[in-house]
Amino acid sequence: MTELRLHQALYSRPAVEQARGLYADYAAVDLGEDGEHWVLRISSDDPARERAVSGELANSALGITVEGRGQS
Amino acid sequence: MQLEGFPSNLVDADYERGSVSLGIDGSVYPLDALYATAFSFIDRFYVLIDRTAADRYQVILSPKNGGLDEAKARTAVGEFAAELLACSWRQQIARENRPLIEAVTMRALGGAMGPPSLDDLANFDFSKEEFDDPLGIAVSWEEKYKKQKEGAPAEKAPAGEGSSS
Repeated sequence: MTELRLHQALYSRPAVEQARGLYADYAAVDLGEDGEHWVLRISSDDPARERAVSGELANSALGITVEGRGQS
Repeated sequence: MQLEGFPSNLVDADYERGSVSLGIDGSVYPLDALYATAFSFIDRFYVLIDRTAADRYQVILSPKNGGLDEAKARTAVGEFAAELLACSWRQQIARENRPLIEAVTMRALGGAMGPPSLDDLANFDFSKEEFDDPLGIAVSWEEKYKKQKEGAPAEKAPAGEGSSS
């Protein structure tokens, strides 16, 4: 299981939820909170897929957040 | 692990995890510039931004393809720092020149809207408009060739000018 922590001041909740939805078919992704961070727990039978989904999810959340700020 | 050529308190490489982290001072580099820089790296890296203090950020870069060695880590950090500086500079220039950019853009859009209407021309005060006319093109024919004084012949108009067929 891979844990991805995204700071709430830097990643908007809609962006995190949208990114989570994009990869729901590729791995199990649970969303929670811990203090100032969104915590996503990614689980897959394949460790390589876990790493890839974790990284792409973070990138997607970043991209959606940036688009929401009108910068992309 | 310290990366040669970079301050140890700002850059740290973890070759086992395949990532390199870079500390960013938010008072020096605007957040918008950090976002723009991070966004430009997501095609080659997995990019994670974290907030470590009120005005401090941490960027973690992991190459998508292949592992991470010292050379790749130095390149990644160097390119990110250079791009972050460029983005910050561009934003500062845009911010300082915003009124000028807006004025030029509005004039360009206004010109693209087409010629003025008859009402616009009727309401326009030509007497107040100042413009250079070194060749005297804007002077009417009558004014250009009128008699200079009583009894004096008018300046002869060139042949073909003002003649009707």
